[in-house]
Amino acid sequence: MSSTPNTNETPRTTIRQANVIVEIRNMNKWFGKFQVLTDINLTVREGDKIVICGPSGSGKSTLIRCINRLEEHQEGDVIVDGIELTEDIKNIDKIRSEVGMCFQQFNLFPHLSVMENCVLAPMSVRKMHREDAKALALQYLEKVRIPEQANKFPSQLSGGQQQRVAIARALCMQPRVMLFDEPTSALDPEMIAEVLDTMEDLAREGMTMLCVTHEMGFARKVADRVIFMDQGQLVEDSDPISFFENPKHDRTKKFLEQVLQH
Amino acid sequence: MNFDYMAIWENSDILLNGLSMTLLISAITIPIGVCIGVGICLMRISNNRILRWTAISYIEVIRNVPLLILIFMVFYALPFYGIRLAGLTTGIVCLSMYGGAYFAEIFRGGIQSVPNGQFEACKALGLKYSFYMRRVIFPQLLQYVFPPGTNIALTMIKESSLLSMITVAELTYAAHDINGRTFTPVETFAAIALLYWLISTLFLNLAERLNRKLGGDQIADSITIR
Repeated sequence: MSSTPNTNETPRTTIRQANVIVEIRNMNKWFGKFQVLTDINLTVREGDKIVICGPSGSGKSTLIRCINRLEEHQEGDVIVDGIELTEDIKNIDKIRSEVGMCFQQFNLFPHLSVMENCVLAPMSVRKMHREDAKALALQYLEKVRIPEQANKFPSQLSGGQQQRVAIARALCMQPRVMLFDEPTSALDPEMIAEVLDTMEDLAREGMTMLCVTHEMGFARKVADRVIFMDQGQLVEDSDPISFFENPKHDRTKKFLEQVLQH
Repeated sequence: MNFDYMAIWENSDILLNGLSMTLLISAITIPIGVCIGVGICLMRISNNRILRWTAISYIEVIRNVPLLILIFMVFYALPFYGIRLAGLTTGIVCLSMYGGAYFAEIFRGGIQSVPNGQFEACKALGLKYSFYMRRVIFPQLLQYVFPPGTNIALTMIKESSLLSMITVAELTYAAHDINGRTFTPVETFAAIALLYWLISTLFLNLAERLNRKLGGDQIADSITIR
């Protein structure tokens, strides 16, 4: 499949023949008897920037965690980069090295420095030499604008800095798609902007992203698709302008009324 | 009040032999106990039901039966099934297994105390189980296992005194020996108590140094209660 370059001027009107990176077909998931995801069908193409929003308990985090098998789905297919997600541990590990994830709680390794946090996975999984891994890490630390903190420990950094390190750490594996699970929800307001700016830079460079967030400003500015989830179902999936100005479903309208009040 | 130092001094060779035996037993059984503990712990938390059940049974048996009875069973009862172990061997086997059961539960508690997000970050990066348990989880659980772990090790040092009942010539046996010759229980047992105390202090010192070397104090030291 050929992919036409994604120009920033008219991304929404250009018909892109990009590769499919994540394909979810008829996926259902239960926690015991309680169904948390119902009939999920989702196609993510290379270069897509998708924001997933919705009330708490709607299953948005669960959905993206199914993509790197932090959660297991009981029915349906989840296919990442052509590899189907099943019990097979080899597939799971392969998929995980192509899917990067950033967590609400950062989850940096506290006993390792920033640099060591970043080089750990490339050296262990991609068998990189230490010097190459360090050069790579420095490159991404520069991209998230904190190269000078390379030898500090996570406890010495602010929340915003820690999250940016977490982003750099995930990027060091050079994944094909990045998952963000409410990356700014645990941050003080003054630090949210620096993380969102970093994510915006990433988006502009063409990274495929799925982002669960409550930051509607970010969605409007950066996303090319906004998905609304409620009670385990994908309710609405459209471009930001249609989503915010002209939501199709009542549930979406209600949610937007509540969220956009302040 | 007469403190008959001479009784102790004249028999210092017996004391020293006993001391070195206790030190030897401790030096052997504590590391073996830790290794058994790691093994049993991994079995205890595995997804394999057989492994898990074996570990649980092992821990239950060792914890619920007095160590002395365990020692007697191995020393006196096993020969009827063809397994005759010397006193020292019995002691080392029983003490190691005893420590192993407790260490297993301590390590399990330590693993459960490491925040779940750490495991998720490791998985999300595609790290292998054996790799991340060693390099990410283990260093973080040191701060949780150090206090109870040193407790168990100290207990093992003191419980080695039980081996005197199966003719192992360690410190407690030496005490009975000297007392039998000199009839000076006050001085003898005071000396023994002092020696056990010295061994324990020495051990705690070593443990603290090992802990610092493995990086276990970085996080723990910063926790204070105001």
